[in-house]
Amino acid sequence: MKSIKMRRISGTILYHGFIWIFGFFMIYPVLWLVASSFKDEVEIFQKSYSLIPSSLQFDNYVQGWKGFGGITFGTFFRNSFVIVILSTIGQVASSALVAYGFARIKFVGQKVLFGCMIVTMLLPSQVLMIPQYILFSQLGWVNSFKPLVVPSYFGYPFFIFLMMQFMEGIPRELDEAARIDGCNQWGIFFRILLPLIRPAMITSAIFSFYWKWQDFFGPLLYIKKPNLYPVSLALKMFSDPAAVTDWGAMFAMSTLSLVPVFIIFVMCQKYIVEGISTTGLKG
Amino acid sequence: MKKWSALLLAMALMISFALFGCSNADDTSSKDNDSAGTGTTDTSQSGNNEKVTMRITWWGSQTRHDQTLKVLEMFQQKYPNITFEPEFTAWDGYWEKIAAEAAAGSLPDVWQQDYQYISQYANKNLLLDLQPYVDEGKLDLSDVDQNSIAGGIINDKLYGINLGNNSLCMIYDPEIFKQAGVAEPTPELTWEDYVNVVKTIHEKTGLYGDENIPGNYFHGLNHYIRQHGPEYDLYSEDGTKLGYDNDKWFEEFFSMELDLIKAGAIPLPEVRNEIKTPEDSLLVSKKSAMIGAINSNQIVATATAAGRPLKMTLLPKAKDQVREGQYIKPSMFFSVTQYTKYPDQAVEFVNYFINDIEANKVMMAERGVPISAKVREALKPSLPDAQKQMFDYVDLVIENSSPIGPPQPAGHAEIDKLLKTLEEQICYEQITPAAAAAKFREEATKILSQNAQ
Amino acid sequence: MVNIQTVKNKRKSINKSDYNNLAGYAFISPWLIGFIIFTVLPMLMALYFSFTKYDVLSTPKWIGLENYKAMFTSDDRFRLALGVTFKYVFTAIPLRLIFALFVAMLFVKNRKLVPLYRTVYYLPSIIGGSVAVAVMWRQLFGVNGALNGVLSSLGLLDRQISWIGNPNTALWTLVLLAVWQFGSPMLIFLAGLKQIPSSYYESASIDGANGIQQFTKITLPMLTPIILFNLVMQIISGFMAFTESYIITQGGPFDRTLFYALYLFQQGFQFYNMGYACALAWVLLLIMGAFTAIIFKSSNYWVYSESKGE
Repeated sequence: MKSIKMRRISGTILYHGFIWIFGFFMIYPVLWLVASSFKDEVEIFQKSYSLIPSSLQFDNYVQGWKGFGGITFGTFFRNSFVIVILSTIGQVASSALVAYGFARIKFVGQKVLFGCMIVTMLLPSQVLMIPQYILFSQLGWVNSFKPLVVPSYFGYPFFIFLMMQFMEGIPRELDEAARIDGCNQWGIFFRILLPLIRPAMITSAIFSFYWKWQDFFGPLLYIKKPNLYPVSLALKMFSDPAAVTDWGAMFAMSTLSLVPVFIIFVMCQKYIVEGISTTGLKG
Repeated sequence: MKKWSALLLAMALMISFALFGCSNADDTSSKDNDSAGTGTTDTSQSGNNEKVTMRITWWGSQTRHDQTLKVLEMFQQKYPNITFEPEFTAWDGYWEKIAAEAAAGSLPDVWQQDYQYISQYANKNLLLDLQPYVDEGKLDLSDVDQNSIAGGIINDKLYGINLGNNSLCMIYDPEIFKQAGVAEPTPELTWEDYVNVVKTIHEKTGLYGDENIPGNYFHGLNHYIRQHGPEYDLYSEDGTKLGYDNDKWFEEFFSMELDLIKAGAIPLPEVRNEIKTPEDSLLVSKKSAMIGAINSNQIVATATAAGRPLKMTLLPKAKDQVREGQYIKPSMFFSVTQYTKYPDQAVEFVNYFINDIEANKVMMAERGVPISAKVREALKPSLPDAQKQMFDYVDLVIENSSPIGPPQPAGHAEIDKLLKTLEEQICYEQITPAAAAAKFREEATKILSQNAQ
Repeated sequence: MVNIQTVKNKRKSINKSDYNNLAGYAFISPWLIGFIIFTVLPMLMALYFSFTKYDVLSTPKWIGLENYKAMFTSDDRFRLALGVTFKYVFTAIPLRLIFALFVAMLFVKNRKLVPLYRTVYYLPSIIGGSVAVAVMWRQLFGVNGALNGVLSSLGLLDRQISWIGNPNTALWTLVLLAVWQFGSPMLIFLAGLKQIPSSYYESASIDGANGIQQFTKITLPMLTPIILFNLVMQIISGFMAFTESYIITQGGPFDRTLFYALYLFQQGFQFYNMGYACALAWVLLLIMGAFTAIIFKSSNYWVYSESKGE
């Protein structure tokens, strides 16, 4: 009895010890970034790998926040939030609908259309940049958030496929039972499947938020006015190959730009892992 | 199995669609050209007092953004009928953005242009010829010497106004030269002297003698080639082939680099490729006595980063040189888009930008030495040390230079990449300089002839 | 009588399939509309460009199969890029997936501190492709980086080398970066693991199955739809890898880290050979299409589906 207990304790120590040591390597670069945001210019380069700044300098944050040409990071953050929140809602909601259609309903042309959807993920985005730019500029959408937000409401193949795979894991008997109870397709989707794929939807939301947040080429092409720039674009403006870079300010704003993504993850992860196991689904 | 065939079917479907798609794509581009055409005819009628809004784009650092915005504000006060919508970004991504806008026929009215790209855009008739405006007196170049204008002339038309004179230079730390007991370089330094200096510094101090071969792989080679023939240049006059006929110069130049690398006097490419901004420079961190390849306007940023006095000098001369390799190069241009609706106002702005003394006092030669002699004179008394050095250096270059070569042709970016690859292979002894010279000639000729079609 | 009955049945079934067709198209309509408006046209334009000489700045000129011919007959860099990309895909992707699954298994139980651990292990993935990552990787693997600092203090370094710039090591630092950022497949695995009903494990432990048996008999089979998803998506993202080499190595030294997507980008946006870039893109699409098709085809044999009840 005792030895079993001992074994369990040493197992726990091993588990946590391993995770801590490895975790340090995982997180070192992130800590480095945060530490650098508090260092002054000289220290950033001379004591580059130390993680403890010799004094806490908030100057970098003050300096960085000022932004460029009179536009502060307040504006850049606001733009990012507008773009990212609107697109995340659109991507997750529309993808869930489409995923249900592909995964649960049999209709003519289903397989071909699914194939088409997979194919659209296979063409490198770099060659679509010019045609899409021409398209959006013909629509008169350039220099607004529209090219970045509107397409999000038409499903995103990655999330559609992801949610389909999660629906695969849900027994069809549930659909049948609901149908007998008088649910139509919409009812089955909304009442039965949607709650059950919540982990997948939350996962999608985390990705969608993050991908849109750090998207650089989209805003670069479509947004012209600096007061509409999102954070991802503004961050690039700190460094120019031919001029002195304000590294401290850049690290400070980079750190700050991670905060929303970080908060979203921390808030959402508990819903992922609560997930389905609490709903008491029987197989 | 079914999913697999579905995939294939999908592809077949898309390909068959494509055959209809062609006409569509054609439509778009021809429409763009149309609108471009009508744009220009419209313009000449637009009066000077009508309220106009124009787009202007540049790349740069924070300093440049702040200064340029200030100048735009000053301009708008003087010309209240003209409003600018400024768009500014970093160098990273600037050309992708411009390319997309060119494809959609929506280039900004005035935009910052680079020497590497200007002929590409000029040859596709996307830029406005500014010579007529100079002739009419709307664009005042009376205080500008021909050397400073030449870089913007392509096929006898003026497609870009130089925003600052630049030239390649070597920046060095006099303190390290003193420590090594080596005399500071003079303008008469030859390649043989250079090799000795660099090697001696390395032996005496253990530091690198130089961060890079003077001029780096591309401009260094070009410089070396120019010194050895009155008509030599990396590219021929019409840009359809290489502009030198003897691979000997290529071999000599890179053999010299390999020799210095083997001696440890200059670093391997892996070390210098890490240098992305002035702060990264080995000279700034006191690991090297010189930076052999840098544009003269960057003395300001380098001196700021180093925080100690640095000096500038010319690139080495060749003992048997036929002419000077050094030349004055435009740091960047303003170009006006050919289909702008407001060419007069755009030219008005460019004219203001290069000639107005107050505006230039705000910018303090951040884009290089101003081309107008009047502006230069006005700035001189108030220049900070590093800027003053830059002005003096450009004067020195004018005395020791030959005219700039033909503009970099379409295909230059690809050739630059090719040369960089070959140079790195030479440094790691994956290929001999002789073999690289032959390969360069073969591949570069192919690229140039393809682009010339 | 019999006849009428069958007719009725038939009508009923037609009605049902009509209803299903309608409902199916209704549900996928957002994607279908978006696909037609925002995707099909640009894709077809890219396909058309691939048969032209198109420099972005002027009208494309039809040249038939010239681009494709050039690619396979006279383009060394195309072959190089393909080689680099295959090397990358076949090392980084399996490692990343195994690592992601392993860590997800460690973090699936809601023990104390586990939410913190999950965050720590996910964090590297959110710094993504920012400028900061390029600077950071240089601070770790550059000439003056942390790795060299450690090695030289242990006396293991005879010459200062730049791990990200050396021809022999550059690609592997990018592989390491990819493995390090395993957060997104980990998150998906985590969600997938959580979807497995706990009753399965309960009845298995009553039957006396040990941990390994539970893993191979319950976890793995139940997870196969998610494994399929991660495998397909990661292979695609591996073939399209761009940002890492674009911001850190620019493909150097001498094309040793020239990812296919980076080469395509250089051709399109730096060399202004957009037609050629489009041809490269379509060839990549066919390569990835073949991989995806093989995986999907094989999935019938190894992917478990709850909904295959028919």
